[in-house]
Amino acid sequence: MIGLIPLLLLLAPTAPDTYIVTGTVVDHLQNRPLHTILVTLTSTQDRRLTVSQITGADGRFGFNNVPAGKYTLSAQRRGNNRPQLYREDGGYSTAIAVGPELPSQNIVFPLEAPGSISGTVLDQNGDPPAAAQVWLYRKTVSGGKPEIQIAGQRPVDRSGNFHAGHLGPGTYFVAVSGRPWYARGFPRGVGFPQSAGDVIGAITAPGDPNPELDVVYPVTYYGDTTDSAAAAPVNLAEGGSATIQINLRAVPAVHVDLGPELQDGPNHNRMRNTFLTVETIGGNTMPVFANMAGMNGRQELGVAPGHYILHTTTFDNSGGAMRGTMGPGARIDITGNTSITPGDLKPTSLSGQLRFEDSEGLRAQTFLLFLCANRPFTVRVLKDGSLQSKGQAILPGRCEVTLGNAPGFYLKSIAVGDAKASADTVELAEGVDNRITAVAAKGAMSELNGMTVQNDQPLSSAMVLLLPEDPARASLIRRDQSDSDGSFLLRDILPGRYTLLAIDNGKGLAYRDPAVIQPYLAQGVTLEFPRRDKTPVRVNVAARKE
Amino acid sequence: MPRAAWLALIAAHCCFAAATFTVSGVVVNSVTNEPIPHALVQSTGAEQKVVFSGQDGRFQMDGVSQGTVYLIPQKPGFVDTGKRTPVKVGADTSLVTIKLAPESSIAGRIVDRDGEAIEGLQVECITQRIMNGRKAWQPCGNAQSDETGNFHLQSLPPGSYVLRTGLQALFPNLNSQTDDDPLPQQVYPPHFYPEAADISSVQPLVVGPGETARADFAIAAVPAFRVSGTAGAAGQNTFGFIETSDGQRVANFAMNRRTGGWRSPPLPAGDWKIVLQSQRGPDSGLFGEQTVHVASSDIKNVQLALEPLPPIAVNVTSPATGNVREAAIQLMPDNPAPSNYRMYGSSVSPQNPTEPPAIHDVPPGTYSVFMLPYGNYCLGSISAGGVDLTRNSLVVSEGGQTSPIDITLEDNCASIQGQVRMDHPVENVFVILTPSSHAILPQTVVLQPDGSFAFNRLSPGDYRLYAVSSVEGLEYGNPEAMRQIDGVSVTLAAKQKSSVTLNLVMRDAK
Repeated sequence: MIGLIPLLLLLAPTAPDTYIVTGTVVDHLQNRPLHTILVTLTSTQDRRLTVSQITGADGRFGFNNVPAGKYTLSAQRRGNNRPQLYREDGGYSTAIAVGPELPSQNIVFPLEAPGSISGTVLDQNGDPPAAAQVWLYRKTVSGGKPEIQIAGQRPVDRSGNFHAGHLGPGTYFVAVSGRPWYARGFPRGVGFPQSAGDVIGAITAPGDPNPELDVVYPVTYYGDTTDSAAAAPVNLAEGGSATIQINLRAVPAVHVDLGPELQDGPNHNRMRNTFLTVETIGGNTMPVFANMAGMNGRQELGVAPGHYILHTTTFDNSGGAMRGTMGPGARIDITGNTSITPGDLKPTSLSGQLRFEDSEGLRAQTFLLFLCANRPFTVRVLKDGSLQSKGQAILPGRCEVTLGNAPGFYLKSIAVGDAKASADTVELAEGVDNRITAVAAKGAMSELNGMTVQNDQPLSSAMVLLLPEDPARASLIRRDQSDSDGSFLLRDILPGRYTLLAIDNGKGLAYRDPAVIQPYLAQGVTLEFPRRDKTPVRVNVAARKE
Repeated sequence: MPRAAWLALIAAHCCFAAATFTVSGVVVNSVTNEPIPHALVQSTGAEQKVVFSGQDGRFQMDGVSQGTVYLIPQKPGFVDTGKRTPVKVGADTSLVTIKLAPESSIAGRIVDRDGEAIEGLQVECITQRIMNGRKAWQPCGNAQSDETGNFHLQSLPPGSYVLRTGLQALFPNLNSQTDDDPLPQQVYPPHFYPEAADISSVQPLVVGPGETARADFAIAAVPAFRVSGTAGAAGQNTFGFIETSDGQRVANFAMNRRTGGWRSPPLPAGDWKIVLQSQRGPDSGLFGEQTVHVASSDIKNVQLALEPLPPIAVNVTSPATGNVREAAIQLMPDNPAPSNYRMYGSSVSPQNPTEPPAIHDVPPGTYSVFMLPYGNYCLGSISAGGVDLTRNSLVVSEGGQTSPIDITLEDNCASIQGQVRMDHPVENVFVILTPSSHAILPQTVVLQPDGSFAFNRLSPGDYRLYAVSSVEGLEYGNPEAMRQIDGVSVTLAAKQKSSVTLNLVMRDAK
């Protein structure tokens, strides 16, 4: 047993009624004690009230003089591992409740072991790519919905090897973006399809482009495919390691002539940077390598044929300081050599107005959060209520919308153009500026305190869900995880009828899928908000059904 | 002239001028002699050609103009030594063999005393290279251990290397510690591979071409303590560095610009030099250093005075009156450490281009002073405060004003031309010229295909000349190292044109 570290020693000269927090950090897989783990206890009320300790050979930790309250508990392995929170799940964790008759000793903290994916990336000649990056994507459940998120990015070394550590268990997909080590960018002389106003002949090539060097690698996925839908999964167990090989194949570059650079100021004080991203697994995007070339003030990109999103950033130093403005992304299909005038593209964008029924609601950083095909992006609302998307590659289709940083307010209605207004969804059209009309209203927000119980005893670490009567109203769902004393707190609940549920293990539960959540609903508690009865609610914990 | 005759004349002129040939060859591994497939071979010259070798390593470059071209090979996994293979292109061009040396690497694993992997530890590669004719420790790359403790230093040319791990806390992301935090600090102290107390006693690791050498570390974490204090008059860009007693820089830290306070990262027991340095505007930087002995507790309230680093003026007296750009001065530390190796050069203020040049931000120490001539003049004399810098080093003292460097240029340059005697043809012969003056850099030139060489714009004085088959690893600026190589002594008078003949000294690259 190691010595106890006093928390109050840091901040308080005298200790009022204080308590002890002790426990053991163990390996989640083998349940054996883990030494040299940094354990940190931090007050949920005051983040400055924090204390750390390193576990000894028996894996034990202990803090005394801890005032009553709730504390997050984290454990961190040596090196660059991120701290894991106690019984962490999807951004929620179990706080340690400290106080009279509350059990805060002999906590067992199971620490997950990190896994890794290593591998080799080579091309058809057995050569490694130059300046290549490996992108990792992980299947996960976020906000109760299955999705595929970017799980990291690693460089490929000069031998073609890569290594990605600190990975949690799950299903991964791996993509590679890079360029052949011998590739050169060549401007093309003539022969592009001309668009109106373009002077293609102004490009002069210094010599015949060597087709052997004018090549690129398409973005390639594990499974040796350039089709993201056909990417092979990598299944990684907790603490496991996987080794894979990805084979690239160079293809002739097709050229995109972007026309003359911007030179419309007397001192050429405007510049343009154009680059391409490609849509990958799960609706995520990644930048692509392009063989750059430019002659006589023209810009040209050499890329693999495919579907891209073209981004243009305009830099302007006419005001003295250089300022960059990123325009919205525009989708383009590149099948052969082509000319594009970036200014003529029709990007998908958003603009409009958010009106507050109570004008005091608008804050400096109020925003609308759009979730389109699992890809979130925010649009800031300006002081006058106007909003304008900037730089994002907006996916058309159905998007869920929530109001951000406007405490006490909720999104009452939102509509695009003349379409029927909804409380939280819009349908965005492609290639146009979608004009948004939104109304925010002051809501009678409620809080719900409660206790998760099993056999009449408090149960910690249960997933707590408050589900609206209309399952399509995702923005009304509230979630928490019960603390060590079984208590929970749900905030910002809008008026309406809800079902309160507790499930003993919510890890990876796609609760927004009606088929998944239906079996639990019978064990829930129906509540109407605002509640007249403010007493804490006790909810029985349902066992996880696989 | 009839049109047909005119066209015929153009065609004849065109075809005569464009007489081209095919250059064929093979790219091979210099160690195994195996052919290297898909290597890129590029020709230099007005019309650059690029071809790839086939599966058998063979390449064919068509349409190469008559004359001498240099072929540059490239292939991942092989060293780009900078060597260019000259090829005489003509009707009788023979098959060219291009050799590429495979890259070397050093791989290893870093564990603690329990055999557990240490992650995120920086591994610095250090090697001795010839700089201005002298051996100097130079960085040659770095790597970081992953969560399995493994690291891999790649793309090294064959050679001798020393590795040094950085100073790292057990929990590097833990930044929230306060001065009174009771959590004891532990660090992994810097270690050399091969094991040694300091860089001067280390026996370097020799790595052959294509080899991957193994370098495993076992490092025990030790208690560590912080040193903190204040420094007055901190500049906007003041940085702190931690150095070992032999000048190895192992960590850095930032200063609190507002309060002038500073706090080192956790340091293990021992002697450490705290160095604070800033650049404050174009004129004068600030510098302060203090050695502290860390024992078993934090050291607080260290007062570290920052002294200005006054610029060292450079006064040039030249036949070209008023022209301050006839020469540049370079200061090289006499005992440079690989992690803070830096040369200091004279510069002219962009704000006052007519003012004499000066050397800025030179920390205390001793320096060799070199003159780099720009124009047609040569060195007459160079001194600082009466000290002859052709024989002595320049001493820069802490907190003091260093005497201006006075240079006299003369319109009296001499030259040497000569030939090298060889029993049989040898490629890439180097001719070395070493001056007796400390203020003139030694020079090397590659022997011309006709066996001749020349050195021009030489200051009058004593020199030695050598012809060697390789300069690799040769400390030609060190008279002791050159004592065992046959050479010729030459004393040049003003404007003298000397002629010498040298015997080739065959030496293995080391």
